[in-house]
Amino acid sequence: MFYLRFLWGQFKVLPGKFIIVVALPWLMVASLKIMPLAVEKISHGLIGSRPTSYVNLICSDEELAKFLETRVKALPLIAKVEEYAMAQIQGAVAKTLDDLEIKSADQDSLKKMVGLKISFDQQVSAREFELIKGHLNRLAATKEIIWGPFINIPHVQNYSDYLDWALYGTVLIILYLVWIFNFFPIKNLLSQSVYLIERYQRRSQVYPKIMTFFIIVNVCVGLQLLGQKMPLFFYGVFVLLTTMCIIEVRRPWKKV
Amino acid sequence: MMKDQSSAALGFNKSKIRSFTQEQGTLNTAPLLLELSNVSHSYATVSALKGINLQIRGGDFIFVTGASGAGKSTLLSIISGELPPSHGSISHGIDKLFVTQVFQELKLIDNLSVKDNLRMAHDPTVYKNDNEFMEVMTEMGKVFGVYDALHRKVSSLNGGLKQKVAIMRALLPGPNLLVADEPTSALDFESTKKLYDVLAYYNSKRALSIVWASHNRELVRKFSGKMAHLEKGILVYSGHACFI
Repeated sequence: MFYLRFLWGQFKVLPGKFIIVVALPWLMVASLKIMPLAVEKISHGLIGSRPTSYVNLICSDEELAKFLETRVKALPLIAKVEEYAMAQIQGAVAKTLDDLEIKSADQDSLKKMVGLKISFDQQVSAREFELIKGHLNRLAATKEIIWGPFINIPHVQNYSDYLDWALYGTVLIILYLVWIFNFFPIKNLLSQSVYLIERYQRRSQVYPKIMTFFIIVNVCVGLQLLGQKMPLFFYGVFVLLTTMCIIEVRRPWKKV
Repeated sequence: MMKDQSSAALGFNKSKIRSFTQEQGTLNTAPLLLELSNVSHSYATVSALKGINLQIRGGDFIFVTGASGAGKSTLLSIISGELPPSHGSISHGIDKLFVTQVFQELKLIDNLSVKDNLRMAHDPTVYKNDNEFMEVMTEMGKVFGVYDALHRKVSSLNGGLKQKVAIMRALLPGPNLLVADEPTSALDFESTKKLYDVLAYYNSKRALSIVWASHNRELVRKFSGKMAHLEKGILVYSGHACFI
């Protein structure tokens, strides 16, 4: 109870800084979930999409196309799946059918076909492509898939590979600096108060108890903020850094 | 004026050391609180204290005098336990000796109110509950003349009021020994005299031992108590102030 009242008393002195210090780490943890998406969008905005390996295929009908699209998105190495616009593909199909002088009955079934473009997110080998192809053929069962050639674009190492990390690191450093900026006045206030309590009350080892309590309160508030899943590793690193900051200054006033 | 909360905490019965005081030669049955034996202290290569021998007993009122740099603050820091001596030993005469200090630089938290600063001295082993503490704090505030300033921030107080707050904070937890380093440097003589009267009351009625450092020997002469005079880190005189 003493420690709770003590922290509440300290909170009332610097409420804004306390809120930032408690909430910001959790914002950082939460941002780890959405950061990759945000960073990807920013990097695409800055340098555009990088060409990747892909393959085109034509399905016998729209139902099969939708089914394959759902299944293929769940596979590894897949960056995205695009369905060709029907109007766009229909014109090209009709022109080809006319050139080949195919009957109108056959034309109807051909016009039902839907095209898909599967892009891969890494450099996929021919063997891996054959595995994916075989898997999709098995899923299609009796229905027909016409495969286009596998376009293999080799991955070229360039500065854009490091841009994601640079952006990611910059955001984390800015957040951590904001946290440090708000944390030090709190640390100063806490360490001064604890020093005085140890000097003017018959208590000992107040400092580690207060900081343990502070971290417990922080974790409890954080769990409430995040709701459920918590990337413990990242928070563990954060607590370690924080503890190092806290331990560094034991006495807030200089000795005589 | 205040509830007698400190007498039990003093624990005087635990150590009845009967001895003659070195300086007066009279029989002294007061319990020994603290004894410094051949204590020296150095800051790097600079020697601040050399071979200090000093006994502090229950009910002592000791003025430590000396020019600036004579080692008063160092001696007080060693007595209060803030600073370990480089050489020599310190022994306690009673169990759980509790020493509070009025620091020269006061060590008040500027952005807290006077009341919140004083709350740092709310020792639960002395006060049963918050009401009891507040009652004592309010009464003491009236005696020291800081009652009207209890809700003000420390940063808005003048030097004299700050010193009074620091002294109140040191008295509130009912210590066995109060160590005050130049506690009246920002006060005029009248205020200093009043403060001395309050401390003398605690000294005689509550058996609170007090060690008061001052560079102003003329001021100290006007009060009654023992005196320890330091010169260049050496204790050159200890005895009753009235004999000087």
